[in-house]
Amino acid sequence: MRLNIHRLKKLGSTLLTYFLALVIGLVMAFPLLTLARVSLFRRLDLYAKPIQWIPQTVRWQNYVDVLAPDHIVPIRASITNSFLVAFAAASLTVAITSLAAYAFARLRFPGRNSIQSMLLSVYLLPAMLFLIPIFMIMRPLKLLDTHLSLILPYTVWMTPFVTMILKDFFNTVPEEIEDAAFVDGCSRLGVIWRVVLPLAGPGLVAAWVSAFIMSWNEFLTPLILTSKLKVITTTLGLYTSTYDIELGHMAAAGIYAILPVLILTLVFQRRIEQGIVAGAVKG
Amino acid sequence: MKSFRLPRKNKSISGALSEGMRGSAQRLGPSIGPLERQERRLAYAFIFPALFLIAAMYLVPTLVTFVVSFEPAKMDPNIIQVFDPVNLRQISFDNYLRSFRDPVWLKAMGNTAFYIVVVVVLGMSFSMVTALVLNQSFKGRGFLRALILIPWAVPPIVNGTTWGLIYHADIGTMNGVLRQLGLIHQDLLWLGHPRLALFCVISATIWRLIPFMTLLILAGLQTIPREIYESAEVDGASAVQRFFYITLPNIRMVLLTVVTLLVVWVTKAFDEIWALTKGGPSYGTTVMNLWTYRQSFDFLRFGYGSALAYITVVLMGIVVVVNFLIRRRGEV
Repeated sequence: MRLNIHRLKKLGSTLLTYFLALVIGLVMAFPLLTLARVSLFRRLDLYAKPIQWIPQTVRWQNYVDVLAPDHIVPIRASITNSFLVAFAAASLTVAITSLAAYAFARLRFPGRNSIQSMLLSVYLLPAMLFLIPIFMIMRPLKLLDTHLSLILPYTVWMTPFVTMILKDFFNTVPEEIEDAAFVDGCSRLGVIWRVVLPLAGPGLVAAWVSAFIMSWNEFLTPLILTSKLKVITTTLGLYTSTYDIELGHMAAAGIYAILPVLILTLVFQRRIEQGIVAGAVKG
Repeated sequence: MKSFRLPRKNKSISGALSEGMRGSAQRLGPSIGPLERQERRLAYAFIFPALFLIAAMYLVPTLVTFVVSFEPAKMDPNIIQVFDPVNLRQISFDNYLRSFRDPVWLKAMGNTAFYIVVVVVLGMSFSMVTALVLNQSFKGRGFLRALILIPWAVPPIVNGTTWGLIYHADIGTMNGVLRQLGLIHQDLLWLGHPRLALFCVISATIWRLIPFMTLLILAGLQTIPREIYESAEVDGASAVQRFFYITLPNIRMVLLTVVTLLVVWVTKAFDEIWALTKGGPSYGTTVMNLWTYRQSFDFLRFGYGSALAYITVVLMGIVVVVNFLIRRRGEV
């Protein structure tokens, strides 16, 4: 009898787990399903009452139309710009932060802890604090509306976070391997070049991917520092066109904006999860 | 195995070396060994690029904003103007005093506080349940875990646009779902009413922050040893008791971290509001960050905007310091 109650309890908790998992899954999927749904609709069908959940005629044409060069959503130009800027910013960030992260993880020097805390505390400050003077500096220097005006701030915004996740990563590389190389007569630089970098490869790639995604998703910085079509980024391009536009086109553009970063996130899922936890706990 | 290790507590040889040298340096005075000096030089060379960028784009601007916040509210957005004697002579607390008389700013402070409280309460409850579910083993767990991470990849502005499609008065899926369930018979104007619009914006923000909250809480849950639960179960503790007497006390530091980070992130929230309401209707969704932006870049009152940015930083700083104090008390 007691066994039965125990079994019943177990069944109940299993059912509860599956039920909650289903509800959570639906909540998480709902926004993207909405976006995907609208992207496949003709304008007329969207307004149908009662609501049509699945389009009667699937309109893939939205994805083609929105790519037209003179479309009101400048998605074609902006995706190229976003790639360029995010690629450059992520590469610059990883180059700069991997050095700093190695120093924080392995080298001893006066001020190590205080410099680290300073790095972390700037991460918490709101961007408006920096964007006002950066705008004031870039405007007379004619730097506004250039790719550089985005690459530099992005790199700086990401430096604290990426330094911390890379430092965490260097800490997981066993120090004994480095020591063995030292014993064999390698210099510090030699150890970094021959031992640490090859081992750190996966960590560097993951950091680069995180930085790329963060750059791609940035909105406030391009909103303030750029306005011209030649440098417009995907996120900004979407927003400039929210009025009076075919909703199907806008949704298709949204899918285009999500797709690159979504694929990267799913491919590097584990590492990104680790990065989120490491970056936040240290922050 | 252990006996083959170096007799030092330090794990690494280089650490042991420099440690030994530091000891001798203390005996002999200020001179340090050539190896350690070399390592220091290398360290500074390594952190220099990062520090230089941080100084150029964070520290210098922070100081400039500080100066601007005491200068006339409306000024030409040009760095030369900031250090123009005409402007420097007019330094005063006007911008800060003005904020107390700015009804929109006061409203924005209230909205921000409300925003934070709702995100913390609703968002963390949802994430706590999600983390508890993900901490069980069940079929489809990997899939759910991937699904949970997705909002992190979605650009916040696209997230805002997407929730705009959900709450759209004519074609929105929220009205569609509620109609289908028979809960409403007339389409709701979600973004037309100040309080309702604020909830819409908050829900979009919560959805975006779920990966952060869930993953952090999950990491906390996974540090609790299973044995504690098993022995509590043997002692007859119910699931609810186990949650309140084992789970919560064990992850309270993690929860504190999450709350602090939420305060920081929610205060920085901008994109969803911009995409959904731009602060309206009747300033119902205007938060501090948004008003700072509008003062600076819509009304070109850079002096006033800088002061508002600094007030935000001070308020945020208080929360971070309180977190730090609680943490120190909890760990001692």
